[in-house]
Amino acid sequence: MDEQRRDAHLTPPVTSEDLAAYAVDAVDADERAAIDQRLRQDPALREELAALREGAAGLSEGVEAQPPAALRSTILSHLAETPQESADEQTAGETPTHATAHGSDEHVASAHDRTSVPDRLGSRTPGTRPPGRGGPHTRRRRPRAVLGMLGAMVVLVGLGVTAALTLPQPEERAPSALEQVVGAADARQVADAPPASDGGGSGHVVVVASAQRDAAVLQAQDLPAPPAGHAYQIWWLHGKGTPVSAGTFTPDARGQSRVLLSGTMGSADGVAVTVEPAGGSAQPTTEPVHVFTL
Amino acid sequence: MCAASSPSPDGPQLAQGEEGHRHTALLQRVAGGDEGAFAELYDLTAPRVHGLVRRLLRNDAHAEEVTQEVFLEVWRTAPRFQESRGRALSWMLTIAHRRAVDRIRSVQAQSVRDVGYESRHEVPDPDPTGEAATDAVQAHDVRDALDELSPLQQEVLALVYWQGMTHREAAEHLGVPLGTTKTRIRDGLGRLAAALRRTEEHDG
Repeated sequence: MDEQRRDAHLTPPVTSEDLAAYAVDAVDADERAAIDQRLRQDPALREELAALREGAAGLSEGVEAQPPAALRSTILSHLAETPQESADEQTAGETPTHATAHGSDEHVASAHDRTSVPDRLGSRTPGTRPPGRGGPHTRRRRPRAVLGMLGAMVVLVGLGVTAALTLPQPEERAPSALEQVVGAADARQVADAPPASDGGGSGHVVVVASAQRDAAVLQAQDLPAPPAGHAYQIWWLHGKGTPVSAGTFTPDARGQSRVLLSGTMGSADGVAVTVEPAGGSAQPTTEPVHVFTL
Repeated sequence: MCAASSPSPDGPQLAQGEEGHRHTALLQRVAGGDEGAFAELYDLTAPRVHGLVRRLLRNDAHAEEVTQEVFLEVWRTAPRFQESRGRALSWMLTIAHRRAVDRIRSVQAQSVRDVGYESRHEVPDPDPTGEAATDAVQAHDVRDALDELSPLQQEVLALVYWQGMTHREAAEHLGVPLGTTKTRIRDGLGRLAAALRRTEEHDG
C-alpha cells in the first residue's frame, strides 16, 4: 500500500471494503492514516463506519474478564494528570486511539514501550505504573479523584467502619460502584475471624458486603506493606470449593486500602486475604492473614 | 465541555438497551470531567474491555497495561464521543481493540529482534478463572447473529479480529486474493451489524 501512502494527499476513495477492514483494525498504519483523512472529510463515511463498529463490537460479546482490583485504583489515580481533549480538538473522532495531538508519535511510544516489555512481566507493583500517555501534558492537575476517594471514606465513617478518617466532603457526584456497595441498604460489615496464622498481616481489616449489590469492599487500616515483590490477594471462598481470586492490592504508605472485590459475591460464604507474588496467583500459595465469614 | 456529547438530531439513533443508555449517560459526564462517573463507567465496562484485551493478548501483564491505556484514552477523548454514532460501549471496545492489536503488532515486531521474548510471550494463561461467563441472553443473541455468517466470513473475521492480522496477512494465510478477503470482512460485519440491530429492535 505504498502507492496509497504516496497518494494520501489526494485522498483516494475509500471503499466499503476498506472501511470494514478499518473497523476491525485489519489495516496497516498507512492505510489507517489514509482512511482517517477521508473520514475527517466525509460524514456519510463516518456513519457507515459507526454501523460496522456495532457489528465488530458484537464479535467480542460474551468475552469478559475481571481486571485485578488494583488496576482500578491505578487508573483512577492517573486521571488527575491526564488532561482531557476538547470536543473539537479533532473533528474526526474516528481514530480514538491515535487521533491525538501526538499523532504518529504514538508508534514511537509503542516502540519504546516494548523494549521494556519483558522486564515488566510479573515484576511491577500495582499502583506504581506510569501513566499511559501524555506525560508532558500535565497542565491541568485535578485533585478531585483523590477527594472523591476520600469522600467515599466519609460514607464509611457514617457506617462506623472507620472513625479515624475525617476528611473534607467533596463536591457532589454519583456514587461509584464501591460506594454503592458500602452505601447499600443491606450492607453489613464483617470483622475478620481469628487469622489462621499470624503471618504478619495484622492491621485492621474489615469487609463490607452487600447481597443486593452482589459485591463486597475490603477496607484496611494499619496494614503492613507486603514483602517486596508481593501483594495482598483477596479470595472469594466457597465452602470447601476452590477459592476464586477477587484481585490483588497493596496498601498505601499509611497502611490504608479500600478495594472493591472483583467478581461477584454469588454463593461465596467467606473472604480471605493472602500474601502472594505481585500480580497475584491462580490459587492461594500461603496461609491467609485474614479470613472473613460472610 | 459537554457540548460535544449532545447527539446530532439528524444522526441515526442506534437502538440501545437500558444498559447502553446508562453507559452513554456516564460517558457524557466523563466528558465533562466527572471522575465519579468515570469510576462507575469503569466498574460497568471493565470486564468487557479487559476481556477483549486479554483474549487478544493472551498475557496478563500486557493485558493490564493495555486496559489501563484504554481507560485513560477513554478519559482523555470522552469529549469527542458522539452518541449519534453508536453505543458508548462499542466506542470503548473500538479503542480497546485497536490498542490491543497495536500491542500485538509491536510485540511481534519486537520478537523479530528479541528472539528470547517469543518463548516468554507464549507462556500459557496463568489465570484460568479470569474469564467469566457473561450475560447469557445477549450472548445468545450474538451467537444467533454469528450463525448467520458464512463459515468463510467467520473464518476471516476470527483471523483479523482475534488474531490481529491485517487483511493482507489474512489473505496470505487463507490463500485467497486480497479483494476476496476484504469483501468477506465487509459482508460479515455488515450482516452481524444488521442482525444485532434487529435483535435490539425486537428487545425494544
